[in-house]
Parts: sequence; structure tokens; C-alpha cells
Amino acid sequence: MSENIDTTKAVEIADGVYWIGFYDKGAGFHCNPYLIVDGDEAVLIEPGSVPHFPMVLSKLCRLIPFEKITKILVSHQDPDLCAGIPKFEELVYGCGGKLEIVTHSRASVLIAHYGIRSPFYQVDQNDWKLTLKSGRELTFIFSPYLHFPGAFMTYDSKTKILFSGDLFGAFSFDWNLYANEYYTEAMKAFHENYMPGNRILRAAMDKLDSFDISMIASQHGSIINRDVKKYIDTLRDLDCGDYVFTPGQD
Amino acid sequence: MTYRDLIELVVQRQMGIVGLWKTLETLNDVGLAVGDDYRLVGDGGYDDLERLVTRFNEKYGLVTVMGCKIVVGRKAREGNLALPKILK
Repeated sequence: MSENIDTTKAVEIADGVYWIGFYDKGAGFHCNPYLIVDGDEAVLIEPGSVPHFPMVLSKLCRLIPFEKITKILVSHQDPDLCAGIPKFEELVYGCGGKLEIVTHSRASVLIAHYGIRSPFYQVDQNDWKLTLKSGRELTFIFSPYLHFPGAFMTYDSKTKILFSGDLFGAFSFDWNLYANEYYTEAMKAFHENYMPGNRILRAAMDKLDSFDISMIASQHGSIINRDVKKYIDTLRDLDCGDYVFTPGQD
Repeated sequence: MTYRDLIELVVQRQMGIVGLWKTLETLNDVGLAVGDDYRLVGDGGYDDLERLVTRFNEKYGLVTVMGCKIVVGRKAREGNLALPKILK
């Protein structure tokens, strides 16, 4: 890591929006949980796995009282972002708070198997948006099959951050909080392995054209805080997934 | 398309995945080098490609192989080049 940023603490990436992950030196696959603090409520985004829970907790507890978290938002059902949800529920309910799990209905039926006790707020059943108490709106952008049939991205109208789930993620031993000049290659490597095909990827990238995006905060890899369009165009044109039809490439 | 092209493709990918310095160190481990433009110095062949990817796997694990396997495979097919087992 070459940046001069103290990632042992939460990092405020925009007004009231925090990265609360950690730098795992031995991992080629970093996970990035985020927190939006909005007045007297907070949204925890892609909170993480069971092994990551203590590190995420150590940052979270310095930012807000747990009962302030009213929503946990997860872009799909994978354990690296969801398995820790029951532990966060214990904290929030233990402090007298209440939670909703914000996700797609296709993911909710699977997430239930982690032993979730909170009700679901299904984005596809709620006009693809969520309005917080302050009036701040989160817009959900459906990105089916990238890489889950119910995957979606989240656009925060206040900060113009796109929380992109697995999209725009990367393999990264040489991890930086913010994408450096080599990030494009690491991002392409990840998408070639996990995304199903160019037509599907292109369709999702085309949807982003109508959004004014200041920053892309993905669940893996680094945060893209400049040249956003360059990264969208890279994915729009990326060949991925076709290896399954090639003998010897499975 | 040549093995030299495939090696340069691996180098480009690893600069993103493990970073510039670790990539240069790993090249050095297997007796390869790149110039200031990150182009391979001298020729590279099948054995060089195999040794380089194997070394990345030994030092940094499977993610480095996954990260270049698909794109190298695609380019190798275009040039009708045989690939070492680690990239199949």
C-alpha cells in the first residue's frame, strides 16, 4: 500500500460516508464495508464476513451508537458481505434498535439462511428506491447476473457515490484505498473471472450513463475517486465469461 | 501473437494485482526483466511464461494465476500458441 492514509481507522470518503474496512496484507481479495450516517440514522453497506466482524466493529463503534443503524444494505447474498449480519443484529437489537435488511427479493430468500431476524426491505418491491428520514434518497440500479441474478448497485443522491457491489471490484494484493494507475488491470482480472459476459456487463454500464457519479465505492478492491467514466467504459468493452465455451479453459 | 506478447500481458496484469515492485521482483526471480516501457527485455518463450506464472503462484497464490489465465488463454488461441498446464 503506497497511500498516506491511516486505514487502521474509519476513513470519511465523503460528507458522512465512511469506509470501515481494513487492510488485509495477506489477501488478494479485499472487502469494503461502508457506513452512511444521515442525521439520527445510519445505513451499513455490505457489512462483511464473520472473520472480518471484529475489525469492522472496532471502527463502527467509534463512529455511532449501534442503535442508530436502521438499515443494512447488501447487494447480493455472498458470505463475504452477509455472514456477519446476525452479529450486527445482536448489537443493534441489544441496544434497543431496530433494523431492516435492504436487498433484492432474489437475494432475500438466500440471506434468510444466515439466521437473519430482521425484516427485509426488498428493493424490487419498493420502486427501486429508499428514502431516509431526512428525505435523502438511495436509488437502486438493477444489475442482474453481475454476478447474481438479483444483484444491484446503489446511488446516493446526496454524495453522488455509486455503491457498486461486486462491480468495479478487483484482485488486489497491492491494495490501496483509492484506485491507482494500475487498478484497471486488477479490475479487468476480477471481472473476467466473476462476471458472465459482455452483453450483460454492457447493459449495466449503459444504465450508469444517466447518473452523475462522483465516486465508485465497490465491495472489493479500491474506491474509484477520479476518471469514473474511464472505468465504466473499460467494463463496457470488456470481454468476460466466454471462456466457458472454450475447450481447456474451464 | 508470440510468447513474448503473452509474458508482457502477464506482467501488465500483475502490476495491477500485486503491484509494480512485486512484479519486477518476480520477473527477476525467473531471470526476466522489463525496460522503462514495461516491455520485455530480450525474447521470451513457452518455458519463460511457465516459470513466471508458476513463480507468481508460489509467491502470491492462486489469485495471480486466475487474474491472467483468461486473457492469456484468449490471446494464445488467437496465435495458436500452446499453453503450460498452469494456464489451462
